[in-house]
Amino acid sequence: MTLTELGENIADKSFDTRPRFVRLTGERSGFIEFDFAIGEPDIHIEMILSEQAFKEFCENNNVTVLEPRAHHHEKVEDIGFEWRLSDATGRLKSKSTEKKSERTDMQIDMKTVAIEPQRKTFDHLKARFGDKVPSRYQEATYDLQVEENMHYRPTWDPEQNLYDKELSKIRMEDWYALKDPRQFYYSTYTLSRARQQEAMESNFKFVESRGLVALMSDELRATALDLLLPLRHENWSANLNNTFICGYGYGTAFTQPCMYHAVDNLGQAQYLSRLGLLLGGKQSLANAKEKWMTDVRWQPLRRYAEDSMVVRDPVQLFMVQNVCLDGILYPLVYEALVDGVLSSQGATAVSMLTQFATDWHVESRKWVDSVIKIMAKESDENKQQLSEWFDEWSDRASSALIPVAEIVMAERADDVVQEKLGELRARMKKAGLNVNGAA
Amino acid sequence: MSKVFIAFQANEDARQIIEAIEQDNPEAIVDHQPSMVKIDCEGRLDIRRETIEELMGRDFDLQELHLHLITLAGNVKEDEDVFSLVREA
Repeated sequence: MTLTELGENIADKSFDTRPRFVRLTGERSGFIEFDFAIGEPDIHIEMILSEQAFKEFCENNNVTVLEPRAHHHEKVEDIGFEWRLSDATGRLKSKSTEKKSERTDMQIDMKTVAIEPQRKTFDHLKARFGDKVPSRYQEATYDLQVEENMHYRPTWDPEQNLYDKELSKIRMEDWYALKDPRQFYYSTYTLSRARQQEAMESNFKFVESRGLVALMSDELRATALDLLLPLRHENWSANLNNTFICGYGYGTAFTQPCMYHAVDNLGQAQYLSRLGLLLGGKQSLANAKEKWMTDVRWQPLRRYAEDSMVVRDPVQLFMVQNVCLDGILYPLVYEALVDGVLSSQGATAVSMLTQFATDWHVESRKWVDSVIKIMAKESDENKQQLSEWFDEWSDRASSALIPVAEIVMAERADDVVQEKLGELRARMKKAGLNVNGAA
Repeated sequence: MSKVFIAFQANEDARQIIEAIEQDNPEAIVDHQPSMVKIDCEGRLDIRRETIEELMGRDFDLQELHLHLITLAGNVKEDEDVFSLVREA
C-alpha cells in the first residue's frame, strides 16, 4: 500500500485501524526502542519505553510483533534514505567511539642519524689544514688570490706580473703564512667596526648633549684642534699607502687586512673631521689644511707622508707606514698627548672623541707585529732587510713627530717622543728584528 | 680516576674554544656530533683563557664560554685564567 492509497483509505473510512504492530529496533540503557504501527506496518513511529511500560503498552494495544530488520549500517554516510531518527544519537555514535579507542596503542620511534658529509671543505683548504671543517676566516682568505694563467702582463706596467712576488725584497715561501691574528674577513671586520661605530656615536652624542666642549677653555680647544686636525691629511696618505700594499702585495692573507686598514684610516679621518666641526666649526678644517701645507711644525711629518707615498716595495711601505709612523704617532698623540696631557688640563671630551684611534691602534698592533714576526722568522735575509728599513724610518718618524708634540708640550717633547720610540723598538725586538739599543 | 666531559654547540664561535681545549689537553677525546661537540677526558680538563685569546686574536672572558655550553660533568674549579673540570677518584 502506498502513502497515497493509505490517505484515500483513511479518508473514505475503509482503513482498518485495529491491527497494531511493534518491531524491536534496539535497547538503550535499560529502555526499549521500537517502531509502532497502526493498521499498516510500513507507516510507523519510533518510540522508546521502559521495559515495564513497553509490556503494558503491547498488551493494551494487542500488538503483533514483527521480525527485526536484517541489515545494520556501520557509518551514518552509508544509510542514505533509510536514515532514522535514532541514528542521530544512538548506536552509530557509540560505534564510532569504539573505533577510535582501537588506535591508542600506535607508537612513534625517533632516532638521530648522523650523516657524514662527502667532503668537509675545499681541496685547497684540505691540503693546508687537513680534512676538517674550516673556519670562515680560512674559507674567506686562503688561496683566494689568482696564481695561475697570468701570461698576459698588465698593459700599464709590462715589467711586472699582475700579482708579483718580485715587487718586494722580502721573500716568503708561502705568503699565506701571514695570517691575521684577529681573523678579520668581511663579516667579522664589519661587525666589529659597527660596534665601535655605535660606541663612537654615543660618545659624540654625550659630548654634544652635555655641552662638554663649552667647558673647555678657548686656549685648550685651540691646542686640541692644532694637534689633531692636520692629522686628517696624514690619515689620507695612510689610506693610500695601505691601498697600495693591498694592490701590490702578494697573497690575500697579507693584502686583505691592508684594505681594512686603509678603510680604518678613512674612518679615523672622518672622526677627526667631526671633532673639528664640533670644536671649531667649518673654518677649523680649512685652518688645519693650511697648517698641514705651510706650518713649519707640520712640514717634517708632511714630508715623511709624501716620501712614503712613492715607496714601491709593498712590504717596505708596510714598515714605513704601519710600523714606524703609526707605531709612534698613535701612542704619542692619542695616548700621551690627548689622554695624558690634554685630559689632565680639562679636555676629557676630546679624549672621548678620539677613543676609536686609541682602541684601534691597540687592536691593529697585534696584526702588524704578527706580520713582521712571521716575515723575520722566515729567513735571515728578511730579518736583515726589515731591520734596516726599521732603523732608517723609525728615526725619521720620531724626528718628524717632535715638532708635533711641541704643539702641546713646550719642553719635554723630545723626551716623550724618545720614550715612544723606545717602546716601538722594544716591540720590534720582540717581533724578532735586530734593533740597536732596544730594551 | 674517572671521566669528566664538556659539550659545546658546534658553531663558529665555539670552534676556537674547542681548538684551545685540544691544544691544552692532548689526552682529551673530541667527539664531533651533529650540532654538538663533546669532549671527554680522564680525571681533569683545563680550558685556558690565554690559549683561546691567542686563537681568537681578541680578548676573551672565560664566562663567554657559557654562551655555547650545552652540558658538563665534573667539579668546576675556575678563576679568571683557567676553567677546570676535575673529578678525583
